[in-house]
Amino acid sequence: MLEIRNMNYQIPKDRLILENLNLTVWPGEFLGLLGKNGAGKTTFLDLVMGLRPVTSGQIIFQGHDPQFLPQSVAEDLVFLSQDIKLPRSMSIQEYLDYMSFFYRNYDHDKEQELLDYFEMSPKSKIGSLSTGQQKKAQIVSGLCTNAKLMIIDEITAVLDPESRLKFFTILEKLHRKRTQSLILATNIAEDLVGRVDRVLFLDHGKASYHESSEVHNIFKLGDVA
Amino acid sequence: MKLILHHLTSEYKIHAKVMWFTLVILLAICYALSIDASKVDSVQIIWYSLVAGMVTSSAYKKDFSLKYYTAMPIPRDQLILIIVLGRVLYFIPGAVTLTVYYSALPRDPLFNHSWPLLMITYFIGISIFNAIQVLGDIENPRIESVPGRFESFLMFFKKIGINYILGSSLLVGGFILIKSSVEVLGLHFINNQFLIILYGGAVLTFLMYRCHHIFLNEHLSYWSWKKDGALATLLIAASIFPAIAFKQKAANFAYNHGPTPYFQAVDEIDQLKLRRIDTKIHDINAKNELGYTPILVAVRNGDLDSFITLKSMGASLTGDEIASASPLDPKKFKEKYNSLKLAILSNNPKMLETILQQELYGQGHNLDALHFAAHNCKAAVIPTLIEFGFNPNQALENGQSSLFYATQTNCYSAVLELALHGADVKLKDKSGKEPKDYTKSFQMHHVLKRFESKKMQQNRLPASTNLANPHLKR
Repeated sequence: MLEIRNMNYQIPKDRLILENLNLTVWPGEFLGLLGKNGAGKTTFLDLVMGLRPVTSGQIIFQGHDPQFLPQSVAEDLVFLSQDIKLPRSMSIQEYLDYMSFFYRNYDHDKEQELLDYFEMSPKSKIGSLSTGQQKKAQIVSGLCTNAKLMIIDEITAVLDPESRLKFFTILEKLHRKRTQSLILATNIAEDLVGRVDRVLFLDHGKASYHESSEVHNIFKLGDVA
Repeated sequence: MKLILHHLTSEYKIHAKVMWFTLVILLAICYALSIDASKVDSVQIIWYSLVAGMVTSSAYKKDFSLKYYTAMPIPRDQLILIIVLGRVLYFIPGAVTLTVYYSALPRDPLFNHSWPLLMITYFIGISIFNAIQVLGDIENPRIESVPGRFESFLMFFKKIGINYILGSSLLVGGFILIKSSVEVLGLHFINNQFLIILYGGAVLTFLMYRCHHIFLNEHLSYWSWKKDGALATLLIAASIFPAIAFKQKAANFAYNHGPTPYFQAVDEIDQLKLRRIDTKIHDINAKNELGYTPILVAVRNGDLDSFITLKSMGASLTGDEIASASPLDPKKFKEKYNSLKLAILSNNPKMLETILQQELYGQGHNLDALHFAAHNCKAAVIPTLIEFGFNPNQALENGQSSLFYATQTNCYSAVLELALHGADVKLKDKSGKEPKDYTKSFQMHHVLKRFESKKMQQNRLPASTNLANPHLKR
């Protein structure tokens, strides 16, 4: 699915963010991404999405460089991020209709189910929603794409506890089906415990891999993360 | 194509309210500028149409989220195109305004009076503006490390300054380069308008390529002394110095001098050079692309010496000559001009007197001559016109005399000259209004009010006195 070989990334004229990173994400795998603030989680995901070029090494998604993905392959990749701002004048339904155009496997039936599940009205204007509600709209669009790889960048932090639980319930269902791979970047360690297959921990440019049960020990803070 | 249409439909839905509101405001402003649409100042229409789009497009940038677009499964070059095209929508109200007031727009080679060419030029220009904005947006979110304050300034300068200077310098400088190549190769059949469209298209293509390149290589977002420093130095030298030093020459060059050497000699006011031209080889009455003959250029410039020289060399001057006004003239009255109106525009009473003495025009012609002078604020020639029998109280179809036109353009010197030479300040037009009703200027009201009193009327000077230029003898 996704392969990263000897990848290094340096900010132009500045420090090395990621050093000699190797990773393989298998189909159906759920990978957690953890790290301190400024460790490079978002930068790593930008590289996987092809938004930045690597300094050296390779990233290969379904046999292609993410910076030059053909349309048919790009539809297998969906990105949900806290940094994405949705158009404020659109209603939720208009936004979902807009996004559905780009994904051939978009499931319109699932769309209504998810809107009901997250208790959202399709006619609501995005500008009138809170930040958490806007992220839920984004989550609905991402889940309906049925993309082979879903990348989630710290979107859970702004969700209320109930919505977070609902979101993870869905992710766990997807994980059990093993039809989609998931990469979840988060600052909330508990989100990963017992859910992910493994955790990629970034620290000072270096990557290490851990079991989800070891998450609390990563920061050496005991049960508090 | 489907992708682009899908995106533009979505963008329209997002921004429809702002667009319609902008259109209403634009049309209201243009209508409020004068009584009827045909007299709206053409330069203002173009300016407002452009500014409205620039302001709304720039305001939209506040909510712009690059990641919103980059997260979509769209190839990068198509992504840049749809972002640029989405912003072009903000300029549609401007395009509609230009279409509504099309008849008031200037007719010259730069803004060619062909609606399709005007629209193509307009959209290429605004696309270049939007491409430069998108270039800044692509660079902006990628900057994570700023070593120092000075380099921060340089990166800001690069994003704003170089991108805009690059775009405009390439557009202006490159156009002059291409135009000079056309001159050297003798390809005069290529119209200025087509050159602008072709070259504007090339600049736009370059900017789109640069957007795509920066998107793939974030190193280009940072300041590089080697590349960016050299480019900035080159641009500053290439664009600012010639623009200041050779502004008029560049403008003259952009608008074709003329097919014969007479034009250059007249521009240089060089009688010796003029006399040396062989009239058997070069047609002294050949017109340039603006419709001027060399003698008309001399009339327009108020250059009596060149006029006399050209006349002696056999240049013909009849009342039928029709030339467009110079594209550098800020005010337009009617679309076509004859030698009398060009002499008025020169604001040289001697030149006007010479033209009037040619007796090219019969009675009943050019009844709007004083109106024309007043509208263009050419006060020095008003006494000459009155001396030659033009009536300061002559009303046109709308019932307005020349004093109305002077008032509307806030030309104090013209108002003074007309009032002192017998213009009736209390005259009413067909809508029942007096000249003072067409100005909001307190000073203008004060001047007109003073002339209402009988005492001032008694003190009115004879037509032989030229107040604006008392040193000129009649």
